[in-house]
Amino acid sequence: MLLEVTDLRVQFHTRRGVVKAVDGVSFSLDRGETLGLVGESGSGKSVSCMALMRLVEAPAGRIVGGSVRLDGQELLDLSEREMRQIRGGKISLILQDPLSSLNPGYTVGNQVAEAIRIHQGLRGSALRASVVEILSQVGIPQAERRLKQYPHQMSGGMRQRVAGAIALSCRPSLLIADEPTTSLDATVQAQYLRLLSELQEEFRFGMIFVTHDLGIVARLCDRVAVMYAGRIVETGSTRQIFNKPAHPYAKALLATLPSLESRKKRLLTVSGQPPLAIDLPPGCSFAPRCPETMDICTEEFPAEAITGDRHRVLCWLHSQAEEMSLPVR
Amino acid sequence: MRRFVLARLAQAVVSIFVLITVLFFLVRLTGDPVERMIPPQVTEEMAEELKRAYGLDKPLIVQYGVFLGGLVTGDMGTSLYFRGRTVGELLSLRILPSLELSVFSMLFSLLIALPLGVYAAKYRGRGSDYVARIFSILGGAAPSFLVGLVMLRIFSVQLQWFPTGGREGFLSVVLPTFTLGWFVSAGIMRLTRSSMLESLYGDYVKLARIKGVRESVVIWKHAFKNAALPVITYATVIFAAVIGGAIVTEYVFAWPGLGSLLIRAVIQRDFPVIQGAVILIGSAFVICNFLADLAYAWINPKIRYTR
Repeated sequence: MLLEVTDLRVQFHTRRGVVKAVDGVSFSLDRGETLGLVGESGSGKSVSCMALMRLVEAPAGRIVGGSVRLDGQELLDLSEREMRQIRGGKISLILQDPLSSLNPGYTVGNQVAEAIRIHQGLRGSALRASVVEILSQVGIPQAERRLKQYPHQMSGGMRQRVAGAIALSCRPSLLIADEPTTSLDATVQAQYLRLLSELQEEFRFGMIFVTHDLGIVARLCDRVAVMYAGRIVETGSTRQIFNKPAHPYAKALLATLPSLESRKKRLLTVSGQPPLAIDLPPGCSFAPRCPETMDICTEEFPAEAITGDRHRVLCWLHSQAEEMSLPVR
Repeated sequence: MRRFVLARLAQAVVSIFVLITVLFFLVRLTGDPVERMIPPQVTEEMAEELKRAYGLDKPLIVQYGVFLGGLVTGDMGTSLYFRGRTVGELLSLRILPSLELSVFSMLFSLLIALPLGVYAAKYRGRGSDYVARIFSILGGAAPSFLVGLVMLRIFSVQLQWFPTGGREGFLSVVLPTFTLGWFVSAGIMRLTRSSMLESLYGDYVKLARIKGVRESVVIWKHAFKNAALPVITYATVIFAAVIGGAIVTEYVFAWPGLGSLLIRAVIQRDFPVIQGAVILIGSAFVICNFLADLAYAWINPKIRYTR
């Protein structure tokens, strides 16, 4: 197992109280495997990703518990210095907006070189060659000539390729992509996703792909984790989740996918608002919006139900069915 | 780049020309300089003679022509107050001390204000942030004459570490530098802090951390370079202002700078000296702004000037 996350908890201390942004997240990932992390804005996807790199904004944000093991090594116990070796070396992350994630004040060559210099200690012409190589690998034509260009001289798609080059320059074993294609237009998006898959074939890194777009998940991911209010409410293979979603939230999310058959009808939405992570209800966080809610849902948090091979659900519908063998309503 | 410099130069000449023209007529609204040059009991004829001697009897527009003509040949006229001394001579005596004081105080304030501002932003809401902010509020709020006098009292009178005034040797510049520098650093520090707060939360700073870059490099290489733009703008304007405008500090420390010369010239209606000093200070502004523009291009390549 490449990555094992167990009961990860991240809290933010704000003036209005403690926000449990990530509240007991567990999942695992194999080398070469892609996990899609889906959920609404504010459900804790990005914070979870930053927490894997231990880059939650201090002092407000803190990782308060859990375990993150990469190749068997516990990351939460490492010193800051050791952690810097991991960042950009073993774990990399592609941010959402290539426009703002590249530093406007430095050339592309400089920014790609920085990570390689830090982690592989290359200098001079060897460094330069390495930068050109990775830029070509992410499909940037005439990479040699691009070294001296600044981010603003490139298109959005090219910039996101540069961000990809930075992320992959040190051959990480885990790549986190936090909605890397949201700001790209559709054709560029498709090219970029294909590129990521090809690079994954080649380098065999595990990938966590954060997205709103279930279409991308269907195409790209082996497994899916659905997040809601800081928790993973359902996780399983993409096939399982798309064919037979178990959690009402996952069902609702999938129902929002427009299809040709449904185009005469109105576009579906998940009704209601996601809860404020500041005052979560005592029971299941989704209960107020859930079409299948029961009495127990608002009283007690559901236990995890294992409904199949690596398929887990946090929902009373299934916990009950499994543990107490009561008929599902 | 060459065209940019030339265009800027032309712009500078025009703005200085407008400046001195407006000034030429404005100072003449303040009254007759001859009144200040002679005791009241002097006869009307003697006053008229003095006016003739300095060309003040001619119509304004002719005086303006004479003034411009002199400028072209580098002659800014003769002082009305310091009889017989040319404006060029007076200014050249004062510009060096002024430059010395302003350069030292700018260096001092940048050295203090930049790190203070940067780390105040980095540790926002914590102890060092408060210390930095109190330092800056005090620097901005305490009047220079008060700070200067307190400094004099402690370090010159009681401890006798520094001279009480004048410009003799390196020690004499220390207290004026501190007094002026502290005042100047207040604004620079606050601006640095707010600008850094913005850039520290930028995605490129996040990306630098993701790459495994050391925190000090994240702050200075990635965040600070992008935060420096407004700070540079502000600092250059302040620098130019300080060259001719450090009047209070100059006065407290008997520093022979441009500011005190200008004040005396205004009080005595010494038109040629006022004009000369303003040309000098105006040029300092223009030069500083030009340097700031060059710094912009270096910091943010997006504003590279087209050829």
